[in-house]
Amino acid sequence: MARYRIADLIVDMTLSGRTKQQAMPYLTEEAGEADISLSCDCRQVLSQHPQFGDLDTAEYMATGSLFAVEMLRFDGFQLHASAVMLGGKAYLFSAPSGTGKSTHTEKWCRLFGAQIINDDKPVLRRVGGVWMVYGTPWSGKNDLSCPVGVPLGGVAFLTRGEINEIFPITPMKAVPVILRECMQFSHKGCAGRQLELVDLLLRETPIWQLYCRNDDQAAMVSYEAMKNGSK
Amino acid sequence: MIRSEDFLLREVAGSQVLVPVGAATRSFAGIVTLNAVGVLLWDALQTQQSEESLVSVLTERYEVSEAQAMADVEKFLQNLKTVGAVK
Repeated sequence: MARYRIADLIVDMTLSGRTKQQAMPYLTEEAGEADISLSCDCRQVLSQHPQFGDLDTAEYMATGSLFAVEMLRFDGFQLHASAVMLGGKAYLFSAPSGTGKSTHTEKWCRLFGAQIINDDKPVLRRVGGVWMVYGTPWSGKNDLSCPVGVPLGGVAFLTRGEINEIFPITPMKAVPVILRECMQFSHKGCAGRQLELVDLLLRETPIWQLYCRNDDQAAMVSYEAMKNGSK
Repeated sequence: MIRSEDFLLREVAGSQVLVPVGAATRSFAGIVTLNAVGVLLWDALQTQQSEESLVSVLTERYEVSEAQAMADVEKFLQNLKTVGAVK
């Protein structure tokens, strides 16, 4: 059992393999009671979910899933998005896989010196009325993540387009789009709790629709709009 | 017909959404957005209903012809049966 600080919470976990490797930047020596305590029987998980293929992946998926459930108790949920930080704020780009989220945030890094917080499923957590974005060990196959917590500046939903343009969208319009990129919970209580958090997020955060081509100008368009975004 | 217990109706940012839970998550990965008519029908389907009884639910609440109400009911049922929210 090792102790980690993830999303400003003390998490005790027993890990091996790839997940342990990805969790190393989050290790902490803090004492006291853990906020979250996780363990999983990877062999059992793999036998129940053979599609995971190997023990490593089974552990990654199972611990990630357990963590997501626990996060709901602390006003947090994961969004399928690429999250970057710049100028003390976090900006999220969300879309179905393969649309170009990582391609877009890579431009923010290269052109503006932004840094990746998490390239797969950043945690959004409401702490004292402020939405914070955190990196976690569950950061996708490229393990692009960093153990930081940054206040949220805005969320953009990305679609490939003929021209680069961005405009604000209403919380109501964003509902089906954001829910498509949230985890699906089988448990009624968890599903309901996540919906409550999504409701708060949409009402309290600048939300954008971004159409973009795969060029550098796309990043300039999104940056110009989002850096000034405020509610 | 009756509604499935494996779907939750919740308001999110002003939108009424139907979300699968439990066994329904194995066959439907999306959500359904309901308008006011849909919410009324979903509510009625807490108990056993027929197409005719659902038509009555609409004609009692709205100034609408039976034909229009029937069309609305059929469309609603088709969508919800497809995702497994109504049996």
